[in-house]
Amino acid sequence: MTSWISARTVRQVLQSHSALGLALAGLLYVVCLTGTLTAFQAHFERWEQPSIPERLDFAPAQLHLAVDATLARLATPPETLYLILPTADMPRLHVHAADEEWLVTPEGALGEAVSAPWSDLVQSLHVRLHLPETWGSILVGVTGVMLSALLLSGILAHPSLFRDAFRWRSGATGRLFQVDLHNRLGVWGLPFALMIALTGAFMGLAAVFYGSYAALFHQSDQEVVYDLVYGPDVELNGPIDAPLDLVRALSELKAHEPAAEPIYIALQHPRTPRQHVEIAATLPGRLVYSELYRFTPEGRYINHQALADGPAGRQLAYSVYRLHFGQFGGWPVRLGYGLLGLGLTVLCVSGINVWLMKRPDHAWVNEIWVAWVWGWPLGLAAAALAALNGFSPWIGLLAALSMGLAMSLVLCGEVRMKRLLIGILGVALLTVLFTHLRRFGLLPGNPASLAVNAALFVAAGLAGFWVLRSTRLRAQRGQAFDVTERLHRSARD
Amino acid sequence: MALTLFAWLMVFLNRDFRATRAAVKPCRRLRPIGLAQLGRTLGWAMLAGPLAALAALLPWLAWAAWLPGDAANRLVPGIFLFIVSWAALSFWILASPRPWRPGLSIIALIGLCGVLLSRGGQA
Repeated sequence: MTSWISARTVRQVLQSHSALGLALAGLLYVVCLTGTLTAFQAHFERWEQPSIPERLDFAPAQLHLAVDATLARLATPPETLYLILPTADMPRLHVHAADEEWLVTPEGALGEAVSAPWSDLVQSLHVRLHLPETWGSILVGVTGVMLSALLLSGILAHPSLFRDAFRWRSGATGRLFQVDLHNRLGVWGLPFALMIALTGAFMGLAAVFYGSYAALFHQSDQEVVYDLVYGPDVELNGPIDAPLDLVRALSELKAHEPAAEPIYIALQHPRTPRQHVEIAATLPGRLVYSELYRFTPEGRYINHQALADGPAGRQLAYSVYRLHFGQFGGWPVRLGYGLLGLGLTVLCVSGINVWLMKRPDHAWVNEIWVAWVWGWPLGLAAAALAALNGFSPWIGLLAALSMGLAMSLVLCGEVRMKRLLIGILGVALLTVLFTHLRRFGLLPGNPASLAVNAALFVAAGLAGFWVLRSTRLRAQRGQAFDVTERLHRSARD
Repeated sequence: MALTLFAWLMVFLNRDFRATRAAVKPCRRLRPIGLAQLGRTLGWAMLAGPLAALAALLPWLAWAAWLPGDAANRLVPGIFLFIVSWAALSFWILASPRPWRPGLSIIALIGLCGVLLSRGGQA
């Protein structure tokens, strides 16, 4: 059968695909793995603080008391005070001001500080690779661009796209297993992967574009460009001691836009002449993160920012977040994002596996790659364990990842390394589960906590099953493995 | 999303696995990278990274500056087009058998858009 693309072109495209993949696979893997976990961020945050009573309703008086309590606690009034209202994903009323967050008790007082160090670490790894804010976001944005290039080159390098659409063979040596896995995950997952790559790159690189535009045309004043895209803030000049009436603001919102579901209230510039209230609300059937409705402190409606009905570009920019993180459509979409995200992660790994298996010889990169791939989940499990015991999760992550990488320098044989790391991962996941249960109990009232614990149990079980199966297979066809490992060891010695 | 998951399920059900035997490969040290190869690799990286980024950024900044219409409708699609152009240029640079072609195109694009942008734009 003649192909629609010449063999020479396919070879060149493949070469480009390999070069890009090899340059970025390590970073892409971390971004995809942590991104998959970030889809369940709210669940993990609830799991880390599972004993907080959860409820979807709140009393208006609670809001006023929480605002007063927050302003009393802070030395100077913050620029913005956020009241984050309970939602189905996070049924906990809490306040956020000056980089601090507290839960609000049913009486309206400030309760425990919101604390989810492990979830914060995972999110910061995904959003900025735990680097300083701007540079980290840009680097993650660049991985999004390169993922787009990889997807484009991957499709062009795949002339038998339709013929092999449902094939998954193992072949004699297992290389075909990785090739088919990589191609099937890539081809069928293409729409999702492309959407994730473009929206991720947008979030990371929008600031670069806006910054360049501001530098060229607005004397580097980025605020002007942000106002052009997202709409300007309102400027009020009212009395400092204007009485705050959030109940009226909420009822005016109900009258103005009955379908809007408030998600947070932002008190802008409190106790200054510019103070006003913004209510962010989701709209049914819309992907925009929220519409912002503005009110005077007394609760009189001023206007809305037109994020949901303004220019198409603004709506698009404000829809990117929900689209990227799967924050729409409830748990089926969240679960789908988890599975497709896992598929994208495996796509990164299998790409490098194909390249390693194609190589005529075996070198230290084989073991390092196995250690990187399995060291990260192990590191994240160790980070969770450290966080549950009151230590910095970052230290847990670094310790476990370093241990995995150090093992790759000492141990010979990828298969043995992989088995050992997956075995340790299974034990670490079980330890996380039992530590959580010992510390907080079963807590049947918190479904998110139950779901995370169940997922930990299943993941640990799968790891154990894989290790047992792999050990049995090794015993059955031990000769080949033994020969390989002996060869590697003797070559190193 | 449902289609992708369903297709993956079909692929899994259609799997054709047989007993595999790990290929025994000789274990070798990786060859050290020479200065010439290092220079070439860095050259490719510069071309496909920052230079391609600049060549992809400038046309869409010019588009945002010169096209009529609402600023949000020019800037936001401009960002997406910048991302897609950068991806396409990087791919072209790495896949091209004659690297001078994308190299020259990038330099020409940067020069042309630089001139266009230096003439200003609408506020």
